[in-house]
Amino acid sequence: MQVVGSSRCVTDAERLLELMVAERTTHAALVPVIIRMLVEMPEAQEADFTSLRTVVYGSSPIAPGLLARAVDLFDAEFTQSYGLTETVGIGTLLRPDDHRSGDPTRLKSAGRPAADVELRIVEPGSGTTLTAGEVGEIVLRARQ
Amino acid sequence: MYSSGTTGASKGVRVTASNLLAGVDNFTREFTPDASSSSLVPPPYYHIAASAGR
Repeated sequence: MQVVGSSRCVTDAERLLELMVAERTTHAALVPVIIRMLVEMPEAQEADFTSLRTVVYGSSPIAPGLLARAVDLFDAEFTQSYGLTETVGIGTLLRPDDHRSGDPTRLKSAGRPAADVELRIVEPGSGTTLTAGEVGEIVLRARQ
Repeated sequence: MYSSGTTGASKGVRVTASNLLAGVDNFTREFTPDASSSSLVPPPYYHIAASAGR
């Protein structure tokens, strides 16, 4: 498959919306603050998002109400991703099935480790692996 | 690059080309884009995803 990329400097949400519609975006990776800008924009309510298949969001927690509005507006599959771009980008995934469950506790989760990602919750300092339900620090390792 | 991992102290992190490609591979496996797909990824210009995209 050929992959073609380009980057543009976009300084406002109106331009981002124009680009999204004009390019018939199928996959959008958005942070909650940008999702909020789009959801609250009057022009977005009438915009054509029929090409959009997948919205990946992450980098900060999302308010349940905002997520519900985004699902309503974009009518796409939603996946939450937790991770660091300087590891392998996608560390964990909360997939579309989890979103369809409608379970508010599930929606607060960051999901499960992605393929080829080793992940543990450890005690800060000692690095001892903790058991399910204990609060600690996340350590993960991915392909390099 | 220098990274705080969002919440920690800033530190030097080695980011390799193959690491970035592994990230693209993970995205591709999960979201199965094809030749007709168009992905929109709007990070801040100082974010690694923006510098790598250039």
